[in-house]
Amino acid sequence: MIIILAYCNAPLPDDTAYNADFATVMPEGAVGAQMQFNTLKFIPSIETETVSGKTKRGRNFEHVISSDEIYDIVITADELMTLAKRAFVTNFWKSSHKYLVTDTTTGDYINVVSGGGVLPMDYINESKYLPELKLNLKVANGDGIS
Amino acid sequence: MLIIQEYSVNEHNFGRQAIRFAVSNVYSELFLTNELAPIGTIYTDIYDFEKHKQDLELEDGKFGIDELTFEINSLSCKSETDKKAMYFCLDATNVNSVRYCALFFGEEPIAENMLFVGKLNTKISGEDIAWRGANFSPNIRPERSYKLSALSFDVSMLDESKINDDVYDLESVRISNLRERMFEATHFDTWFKSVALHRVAYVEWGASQRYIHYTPLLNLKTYLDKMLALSSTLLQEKYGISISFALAESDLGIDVLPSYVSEFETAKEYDHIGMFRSDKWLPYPRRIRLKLSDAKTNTTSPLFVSQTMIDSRLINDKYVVGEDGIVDLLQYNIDTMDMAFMTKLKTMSELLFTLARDLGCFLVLGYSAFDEISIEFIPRESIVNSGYTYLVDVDESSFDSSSNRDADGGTNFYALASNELDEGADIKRMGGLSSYYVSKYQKKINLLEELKEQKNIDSKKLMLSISPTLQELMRLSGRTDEVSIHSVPINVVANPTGAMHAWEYEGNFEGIYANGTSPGSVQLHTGIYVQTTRIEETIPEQYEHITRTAHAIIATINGEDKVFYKLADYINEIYKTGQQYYETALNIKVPYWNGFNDVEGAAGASWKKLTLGSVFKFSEIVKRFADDVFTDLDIDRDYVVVGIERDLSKPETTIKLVDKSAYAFGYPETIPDLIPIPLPEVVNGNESVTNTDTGKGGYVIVNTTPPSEIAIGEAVMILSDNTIAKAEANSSYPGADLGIALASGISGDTIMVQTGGRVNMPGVYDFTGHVSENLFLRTNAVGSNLSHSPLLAASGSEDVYCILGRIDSLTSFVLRPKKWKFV
Amino acid sequence: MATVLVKNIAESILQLPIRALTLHDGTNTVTLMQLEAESDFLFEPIIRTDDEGLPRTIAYTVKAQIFVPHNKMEVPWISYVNAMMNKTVSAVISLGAINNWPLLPTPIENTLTTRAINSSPAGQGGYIDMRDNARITIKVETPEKRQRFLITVQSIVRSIFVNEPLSVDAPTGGLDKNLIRRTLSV
Repeated sequence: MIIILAYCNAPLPDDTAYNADFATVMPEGAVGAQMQFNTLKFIPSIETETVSGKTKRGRNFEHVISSDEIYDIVITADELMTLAKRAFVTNFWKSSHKYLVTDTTTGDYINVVSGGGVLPMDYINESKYLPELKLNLKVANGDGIS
Repeated sequence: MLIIQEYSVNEHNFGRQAIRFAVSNVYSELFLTNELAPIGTIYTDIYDFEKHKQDLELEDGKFGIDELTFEINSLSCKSETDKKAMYFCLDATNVNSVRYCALFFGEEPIAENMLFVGKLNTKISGEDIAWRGANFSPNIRPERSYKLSALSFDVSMLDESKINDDVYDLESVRISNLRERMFEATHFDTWFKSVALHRVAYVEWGASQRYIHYTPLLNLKTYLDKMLALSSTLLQEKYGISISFALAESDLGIDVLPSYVSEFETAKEYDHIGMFRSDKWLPYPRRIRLKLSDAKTNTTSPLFVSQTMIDSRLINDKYVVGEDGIVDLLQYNIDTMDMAFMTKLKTMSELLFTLARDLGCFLVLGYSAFDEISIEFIPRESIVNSGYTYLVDVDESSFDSSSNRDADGGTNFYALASNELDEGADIKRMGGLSSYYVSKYQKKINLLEELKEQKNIDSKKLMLSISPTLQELMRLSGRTDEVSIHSVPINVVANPTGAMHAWEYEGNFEGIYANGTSPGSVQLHTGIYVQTTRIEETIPEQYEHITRTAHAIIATINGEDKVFYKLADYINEIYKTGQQYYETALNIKVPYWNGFNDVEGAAGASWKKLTLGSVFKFSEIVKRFADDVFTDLDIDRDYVVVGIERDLSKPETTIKLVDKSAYAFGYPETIPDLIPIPLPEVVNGNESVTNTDTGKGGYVIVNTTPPSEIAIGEAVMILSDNTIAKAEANSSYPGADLGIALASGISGDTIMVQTGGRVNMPGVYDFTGHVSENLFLRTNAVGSNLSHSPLLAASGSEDVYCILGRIDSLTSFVLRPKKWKFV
Repeated sequence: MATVLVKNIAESILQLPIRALTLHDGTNTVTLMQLEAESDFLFEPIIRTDDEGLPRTIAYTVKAQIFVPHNKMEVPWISYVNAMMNKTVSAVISLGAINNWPLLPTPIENTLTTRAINSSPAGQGGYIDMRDNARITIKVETPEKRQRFLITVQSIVRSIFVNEPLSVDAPTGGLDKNLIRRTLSV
């Protein structure tokens, strides 16, 4: 599936529609970029945070505190062949404001978070020429505590 | 500026629970809905709440101050408004920027949803997460996680309402404290005169006339209402917000028995008025419930206190602010400074809490509207809600049954009736020498110190007491030379307009509540007074109610009917001081907010059904071993909620419960048997004086060369060897008591001396033109040492300013000496 | 005729004989020609399964075995080739014809984009471009009492691309020659 990843050093307004020219949607003076990727895997899912337990009478309780849409994305070596794409991925990982577009015709920039730590790049056959990126993106403004 | 955070949690089984938090620098804005919120109101979600706690303190009888804690992480501020919301709260560190906040459990910001309202604390702590800049750079622009807390406003506000200390407003300008407002010239005179009434105490039958006696009292609720009104004005000036306080009519949960005279001596002859006999001053078996209220009913009475309880300055006859520069170094009386309300206590909240503690009540503060705080005294018995509360289920539960003896031994409460008299049925002896009172007081202090040393028990003095105190008066008959000794209840004065004899009144007795221009011979007295319909038959019917000291308290404690002749005994019993008792405490965690109900079932369950004082019943079947057999018993145990903690980030309520038997108070069906308490021992004088004898208070005039002469009516001083000499205003005789010679004599003679009470000598005294003035002692080698002019400056050996007493008729004055030394 | 074994049956069989091997390690360039007919190569796709359950080839590992008769390797050449052992070198295997593509000593990019089996612009077969990504081993074999060198060349290539008709003998059996014209690049 074709997706767009984008990053910026200033937040985009909510519900910004996708625009092929990223410079037009970025706030003034901000620095960022967007790039298209043909993912190997793109699997949306849902994650909830709950408080649950068992009472002394043996009954179960579970309060759903929040729920977030999550995206399981794998971009493999065929889309990471150029230096430009590699550099984009690195800057994306470092950025505080990350965005995902899943539908380039009618979609908006979805503010996502990726978790921190080491950039999740695997190397197929242990070759530095065959990188594969596994991203687990979580929607930032999910249906929080509702 | 108003900042609002709203969120909601879907609670399993109970649905959506909304939570709303508001912060503002304008108090009234906290209660605006979103529609009415001003333009520019910020909506944010950066505040991270932890817990909200409410506690009930068992010992002190006060609700613990509510505290709300929350965190702000600067990294969670994603937008400019988020940052503004953060910095707005951080401004609270500046004393001049006040930040009010309120937490509502529910969508609407209304009083019944209000869980907490308070003021952000100036103390904020935080932990740094990241710094910017190169090494050594001071421009760190840190990212931090801040921890903030807020204290509930009701109590913390009253703490700012200071009685004697300096009060500053937000611009650090000094404003008047409560004492200055109370005694401000025009205010006090007007207010005091309208509320501080002399109330009818008893009526005395003379040979041909009735003498009506009054005691100068003040309704405690009236006094507290006034203090709260002054506090409201003070806080308006300090904070710029207007909050009014309403003290509710409160049942104090104490049943008292008023004092009465069980047997009158009929009037003997002429004006030998022998109505009172101190061994017949007893508790009357009519129960009266004490209340904080404005009016009495057949079974209840407002709580009255002596007017002298307001401030120590009232005791010295002078209640206008500003003394005349005389320094007291020789005062032999125990300091009255720590017995009056406004001299001892520091703030309005201390006044309320101390009174609540001394009456065994809890103080409940709540918001009846967002700008009105209601204050109620709730007795321990009814703090426990009458119906049961039910909880849905628990996640964690544990109990602890352990001794509740304080680690440091406990607190012992005691009370004094005045600076020289003990609580209870004490009597101020006519021949009461200062040394006697000093030693009696000292004995009590020694006893309390022993308690501390041997049993590590601290002693605290109550502000009020149950003290049907009497005082002895010696009267010299005008017709014969007989002197008789009578007892009268302390602090009763004759018709306060000055004349000794009262006149009869027809009609509504209210009309003769006369305003006292001065307390006269009144001294400080901590006793509780009640109003009741007439007790003694000799009081004419037209006197609808009389006021008496409360003589005893009756209560049912743990099923046993008891009588307490001292307030300290009752309070110690309530707080179980010094005794060991076992208290089972339960700690329960309920994984819900709304899992509480007043019926057994889920319909209508809500967080509002759980309050401090809610009672839960838990039953179990146990096996008891007795008489060689095991029997199955179905045991119901009642527990009272004394602590509630709500987690604001997830549905969870932690409650602390104690065994209800700590609260098992009640009122006896019938009045238990009353035991007459023996009166204190007789004081030592030259000869013992009992209250049935006609007086013989003879003292020997000191031997001097040349012999001393003392004339009838002159002031004498009782020397350390119990001889007497003509009194001088000389500081060389610091502890010498003063008296009036009732006969003339010279060295070696034994003459009678009156050392207290009204001295009436027609034929000897003529105080024309000086009625209602003070009578002074002067050094005068020749002639009377009584004078109408006080010493104004030390000269030679005359360096004591001495008031012998107040002249209350042409031929009499009330002997109550006070001495001060010029420095 | 060398037979080339290919793992994936979807790929066509290339029956291009290897004509030459050029090696360059940044210092020396060695071109070996007149290789034995047994020389061949095989390639194996690296396949990933996408979210529709279908395979996607993202690269190929290529392994070539080049047999050089003993008498074609003169002394200086042998030592050069020895020096290249276990280092990353550039290699070009010429297929079907001999091409003299210059070997660039440094890679254009640190990626696989240009590594391919490409056609020669002159239309004479193809080549396997292992620029800066080849690993060689060399050993001596003595089959049937004669000596020869076996040079093994391995690389990972991005695409395999052939678009020219090849002047080779038609294979016996197997796929239609026209199939070979399909691009096999990914």
